[in-house]
Amino acid sequence: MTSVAAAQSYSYDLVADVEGDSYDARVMNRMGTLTCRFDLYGTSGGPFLDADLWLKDPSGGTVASTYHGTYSAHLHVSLNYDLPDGGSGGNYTCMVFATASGQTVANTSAQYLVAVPTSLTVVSDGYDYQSFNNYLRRRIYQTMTGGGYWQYSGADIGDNYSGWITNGCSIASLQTGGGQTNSQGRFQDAYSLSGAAGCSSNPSCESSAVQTITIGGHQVLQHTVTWKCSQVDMP
Amino acid sequence: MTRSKDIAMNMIKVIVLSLVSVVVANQASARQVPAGLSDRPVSNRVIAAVAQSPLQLVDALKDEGITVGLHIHEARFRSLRVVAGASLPARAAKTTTTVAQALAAFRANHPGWSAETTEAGVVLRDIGIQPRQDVVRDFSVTNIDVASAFAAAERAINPAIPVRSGTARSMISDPDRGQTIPPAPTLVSVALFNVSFEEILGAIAAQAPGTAWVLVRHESKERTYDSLSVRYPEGLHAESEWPLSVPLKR
Repeated sequence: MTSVAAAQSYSYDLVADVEGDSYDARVMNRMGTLTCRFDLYGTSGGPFLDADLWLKDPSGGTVASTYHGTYSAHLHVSLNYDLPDGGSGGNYTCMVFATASGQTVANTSAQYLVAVPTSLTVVSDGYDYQSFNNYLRRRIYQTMTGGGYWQYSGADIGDNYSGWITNGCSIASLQTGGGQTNSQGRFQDAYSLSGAAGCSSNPSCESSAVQTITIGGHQVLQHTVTWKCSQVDMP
Repeated sequence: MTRSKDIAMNMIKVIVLSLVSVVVANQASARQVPAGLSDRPVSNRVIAAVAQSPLQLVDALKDEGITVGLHIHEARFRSLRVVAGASLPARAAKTTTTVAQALAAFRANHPGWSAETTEAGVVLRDIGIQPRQDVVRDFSVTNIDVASAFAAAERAINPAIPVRSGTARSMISDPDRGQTIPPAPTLVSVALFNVSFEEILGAIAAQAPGTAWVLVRHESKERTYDSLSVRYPEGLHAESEWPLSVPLKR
């Protein structure tokens, strides 16, 4: 949001933005701090300038506020708000009410849209190699928000599994680990199996667990993954 | 004839006993604090982790090939797991700080924790946790992958756990990397007698650099038990669902 002439001798800027991040944090996670800034420019030695600044979350509740007054020609007011981990998306509204000697010179707002990841779509899917009791299936996921692509890098991906629902293949270890999205908001998950004990005695065995993927603290996928001796199945 | 037979038998006994003594010596050495561990220099990543969390320190130490384990309450483990791996320098650079100095700094930063070098390597322990008292009389695995070795260690404590082997993985990475070959399994061989469970875990981890063990303590009014979690190279980890009963203090 930029400069609007409020009165003949005053002008101001009101900006809502996310700052202090190594990536464009249009995702609520622990790294995102939303900043709301207001600058009012008057005349040197002019009257008393003051401003109330407050920030509302998408539900309309006030989450931060501040006030400042000065006799100088430039009034600067700002506030920071740490976006909560896993919070809901939507428009955050920064509002200002400023006066000069009691006369209103600014009564306006600026918005910042926080677009959170909501789901995943599959970009590609296939086996890099596949033999009995030794295979690797690689699936590339695209992060989505609402109906569109969510294309931001550096957001933390959580890859969590329940304990085994069934472990008919007597697999010793289910190893998993997180990562980060690339600049397109994509990542790949490589599902593999090697050396399962149960496959030698029962080639039709199955071991299943529920996979939950989160991005920036938002759950975007939950499904059951079933490792079999020659393939791994998932919806 | 009989006498020459006896001589031959005695010679065989001597040879067998000599071999046994070599094996026992090897086993005994596994039960001592690894030589030079305390004086080993660590990197800037370890120093950064010292100020952060026990789990990050475990990850930083294991990534430098230092045998390390953690004994932690379940609730704390769940909360730390979320942020582990974050905020450490991307590149490791050697410093003059030693393992002993890093552990002293960790204790100063985290008053609720003990951190020491033991026969199981470096062990970080929540001070509120009573160490396990069990003694395993005989543990032996030969040339099996590290995940299967840890599964065998669990069975040494709880024989009701079924025999398991092999690894399933779900590895997340940047698609621009292309094909991700899972790390080749590290094969380990361990033979130990009359040792603690932690010594077994340490002996396995020592043969698989980049691997660390974590015992998670579950406590309720009804029951107290540990479960085993293992941290592997490349940011992978695995958690076992099998309970390992905690023996009462003798």
